[in-house]
Amino acid sequence: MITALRKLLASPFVTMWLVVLMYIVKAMIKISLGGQINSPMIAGDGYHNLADIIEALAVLAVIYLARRPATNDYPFGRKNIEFFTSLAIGLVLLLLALDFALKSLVGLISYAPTLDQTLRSFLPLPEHHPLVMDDGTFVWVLCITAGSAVLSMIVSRYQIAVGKATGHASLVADGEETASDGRIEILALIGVLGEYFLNSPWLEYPLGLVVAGFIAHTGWGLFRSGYRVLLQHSIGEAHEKNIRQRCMNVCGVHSVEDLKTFQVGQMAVCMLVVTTKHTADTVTYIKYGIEHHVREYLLSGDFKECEIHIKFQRPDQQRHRVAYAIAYKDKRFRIAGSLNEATHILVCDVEMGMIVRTRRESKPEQLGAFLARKRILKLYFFTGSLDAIEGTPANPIPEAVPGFQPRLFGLS
Amino acid sequence: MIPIAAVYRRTSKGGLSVTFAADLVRRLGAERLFVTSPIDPADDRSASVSDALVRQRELIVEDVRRITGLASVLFVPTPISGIVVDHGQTAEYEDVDTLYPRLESTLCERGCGPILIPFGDSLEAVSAAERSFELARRLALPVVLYHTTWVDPDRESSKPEEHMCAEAVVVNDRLAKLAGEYGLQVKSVIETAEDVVEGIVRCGMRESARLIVMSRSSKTTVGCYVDQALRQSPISLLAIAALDRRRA
Repeated sequence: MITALRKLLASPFVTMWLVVLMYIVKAMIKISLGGQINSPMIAGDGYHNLADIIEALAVLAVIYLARRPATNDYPFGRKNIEFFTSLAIGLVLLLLALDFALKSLVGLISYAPTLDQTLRSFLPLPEHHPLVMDDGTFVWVLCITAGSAVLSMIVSRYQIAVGKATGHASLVADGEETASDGRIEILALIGVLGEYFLNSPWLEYPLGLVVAGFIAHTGWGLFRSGYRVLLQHSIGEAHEKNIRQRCMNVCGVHSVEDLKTFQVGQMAVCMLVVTTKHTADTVTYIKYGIEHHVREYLLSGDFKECEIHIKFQRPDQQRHRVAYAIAYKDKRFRIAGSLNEATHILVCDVEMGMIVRTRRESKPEQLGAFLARKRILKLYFFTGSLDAIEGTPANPIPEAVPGFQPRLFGLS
Repeated sequence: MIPIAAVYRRTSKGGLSVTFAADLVRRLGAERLFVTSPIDPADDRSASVSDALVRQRELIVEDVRRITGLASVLFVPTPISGIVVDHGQTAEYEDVDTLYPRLESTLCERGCGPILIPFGDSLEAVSAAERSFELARRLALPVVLYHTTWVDPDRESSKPEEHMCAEAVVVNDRLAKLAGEYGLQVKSVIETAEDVVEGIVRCGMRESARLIVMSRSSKTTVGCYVDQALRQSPISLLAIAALDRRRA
């Protein structure tokens, strides 16, 4: 029974319907009480809650759309639609913070009538509405404001928890918005208490500025995350650095040439270009290793899903050509110690430091011209001292190797 | 002390063998690096090239000293009975324990990770594991024991451990106990992988293993797991010589 109830409460749809119910109750109570005690603040907050109902219904629609499966037309699904909600709620919160900061400033300035009049002579400041309250309505106002604030804070935590668990950014954004409402309500409560007990309703206004700052911060965060996801901003420098590091820890990875990341809903998408010297047999396992470690990293952090695309390429082949002076003696070829001793020139194609093709040519009459025509970079001899190599052309540079057996050099 | 020898080849892969072996020598605190080269046996018997052979050996030692910065390098005509580091893919030295770096330049180039020791149902694995445990202890690396088993159709369990045959269970217990005696941090991974070599290499990749140790068996005539792993694994691999073929 309890498990079933928990499962029900963890559903994003149930969460949002509970939120709608909360706002209906709040709006009805606040609008009727606000009209009764002539409090534009409480009545205005009630109308704000009516707007919250519409917002909650919009979030419900967005969640429904976001949960639809991927199709050929929408290969990543429609999860990004949730970030339109983040963008919109972020923008609304920024405007709300501005409005709230302005009202708090107007409230503060009203305590200095001369300054108030001077500013109003050239600035279109909104009208200041002081709270109207008597002993008979105080308890009602107190209970409703406190109850509303507590409910907002609890419901916001609930929304954020369910949103994070189910990967619905719009639910998290709406939860943040509910928390901002709660902060404003707490402030209204302080104003009510300040007026009634200390006869200092001005307390509400400096605190209002602080709360406006908090709301603006939340609004900016939501707006920025929505903007970044919708415009496929990278998932962040720190994440990319960790992904590169994890790739380099996988055996067989030579380098990470390119990394592009972006976010779709709560899914991180990584597009990697990796260089490796290994062949196709081994690349399968390198891919498996990269996917395992990158997935492990991404899912342990901010993301619910991930999609990793890896393209493998070979490092720069550094193709060039070298040659060995070789001598045919005792029915076998060996690397010659001098040009006189050499009977043949072994032309070698080199890729990534390995000889991949050799071609044996009889020692030509015009060695310099032959080596230049074949674009040979180095001509190798087996000798401790290159002084012994008489008649060798200066270009390519002759070089000594520490062996005479072709096998040592990958030549057989 | 485990003697380390590098097979010298003047190629980019051969250079990696030498640096890999030199790193092992440093990590194990060995006295010297032995170097050998794949010399043509006909040259070894030919008097006409004996001076050249001597000179070649001197030059190889000089070259290895230059590459590795190690002062103590000794040329040996045939591989020693320790660990031979060779970058070749074919099993050139089947009678000695051969470490194939698989294009890695040092054992812990990418950070330290465990040594993966796959085992089957034969007690031969125990003697092979002893050699790897000694290496793991000296290198202060943890050990992962890996076994993959066929699904027993008579058992309904989804736990791979419950599909292991009795002999493999005995080997696993022996190895875990032995690893404990060596003071090693040990973990067992039991699976029902589709393919043995695929299971081994995948486990190595998941666990970020830095070395896979597999023993050769003279009983296997076709489809040797070690050779298959050598073709597929990007992780360095130490092939332990079959007991009856081991060089004395």
